[in-house]
Amino acid sequence: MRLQLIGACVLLFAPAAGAQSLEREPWGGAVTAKVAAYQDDDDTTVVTSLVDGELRLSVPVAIGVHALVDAVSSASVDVVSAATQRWTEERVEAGLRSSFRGPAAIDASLGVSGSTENDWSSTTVRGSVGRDFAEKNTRLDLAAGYTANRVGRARDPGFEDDLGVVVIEAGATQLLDPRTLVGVAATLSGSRGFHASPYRTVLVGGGRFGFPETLPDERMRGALTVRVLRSLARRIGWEASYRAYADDWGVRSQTLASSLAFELGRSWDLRLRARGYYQWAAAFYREEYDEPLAYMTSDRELATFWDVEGGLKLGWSSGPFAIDAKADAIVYRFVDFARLEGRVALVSSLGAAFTW
Amino acid sequence: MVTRLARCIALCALLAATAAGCVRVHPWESETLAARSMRTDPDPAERKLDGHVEEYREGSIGGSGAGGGGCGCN
Repeated sequence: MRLQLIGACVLLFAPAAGAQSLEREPWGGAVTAKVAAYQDDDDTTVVTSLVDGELRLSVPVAIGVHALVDAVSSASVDVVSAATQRWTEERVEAGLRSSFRGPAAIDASLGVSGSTENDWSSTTVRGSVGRDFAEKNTRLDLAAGYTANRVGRARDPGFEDDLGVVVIEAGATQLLDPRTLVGVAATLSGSRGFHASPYRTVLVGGGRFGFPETLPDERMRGALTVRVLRSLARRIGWEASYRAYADDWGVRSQTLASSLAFELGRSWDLRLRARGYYQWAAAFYREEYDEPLAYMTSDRELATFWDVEGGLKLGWSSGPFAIDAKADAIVYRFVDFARLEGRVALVSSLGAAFTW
Repeated sequence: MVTRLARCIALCALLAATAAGCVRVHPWESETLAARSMRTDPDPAERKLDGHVEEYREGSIGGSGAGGGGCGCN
């Protein structure tokens, strides 16, 4: 169910995507299909299918649609400790977006998307503006969005609550020389409503009592990313990025990522990628509590942990056709969650695109 | 936290403004930036799927919009 919160983050790439759509010839467009699978040794599998299409009209306006289906199956340690069975569910999401180039070469985009599953529904509205400056040496983007979530609980029609999320994002990119691009992006997010899981139980008093998870009604989150993209040789590109994150629940994190891209002849491309993430726990996180407190959670995603990821992506393109395959391995280690010291996940995807 | 973030944004904006004033890459010099090997950033569909994995299993969000234009390659 928390997958819906990701909807609020989708707007983060809306400015770039909208600008690229407007660079197409009139009536030019693209159709993309991807299938991705996540599988870990904590007995969780997620298969995601995505279809996306966009068309640039004769005027400088582009429209796009997408549909996405998540199929989730899990019997993780969280589920077992809650004394429930393996569960499976599907989430369906659909979206419509439009981007246009207005006066003074300002690119703007508007989009709306909605998703639904058995215990959660969500609607997101987002918009962005961006503009190139100095012969496209500099670009500034600003985006904002709002997601309204309706939270429910399976097999409990009497339970219903709300969660609203506002996201504001600003980004800038700058050419340093003919081979180097730098970028910076900042995100501020505020949410208000029901943040807890209606299924999670917190152990109190040496495990003798189980209380419902309780989280603050409000959360302010901020992230700042800097990025460098540089051509190392004629057919080799390198990218590195660093992200710092903090919120008013006490969660802090740092992320380092780097990738190398190689052109292998006229049609083949190879990308190698590595990523590391370290997170400090929320101030009120405990795996178990001695006595009931105002806020209590044993959500391991709010605990102290780290993960490292590495993988490769192989792509082939010829004329209007392109296909790609990707495989990543992720190792998680939970520092203060004894029920699960860590897990290993494999993420793979296949994609195809047709552009005209 | 917000104050510290605002300071970082102001510092980065200052650095970007300084860099913008120092260099100008002309369109005919941007062939390298338009190369396929410079597309290290995931495409939007890939980023959306990666977001499923990262945002759902980590406690952090945001900051992923550092991509975008400004490559001078169009």
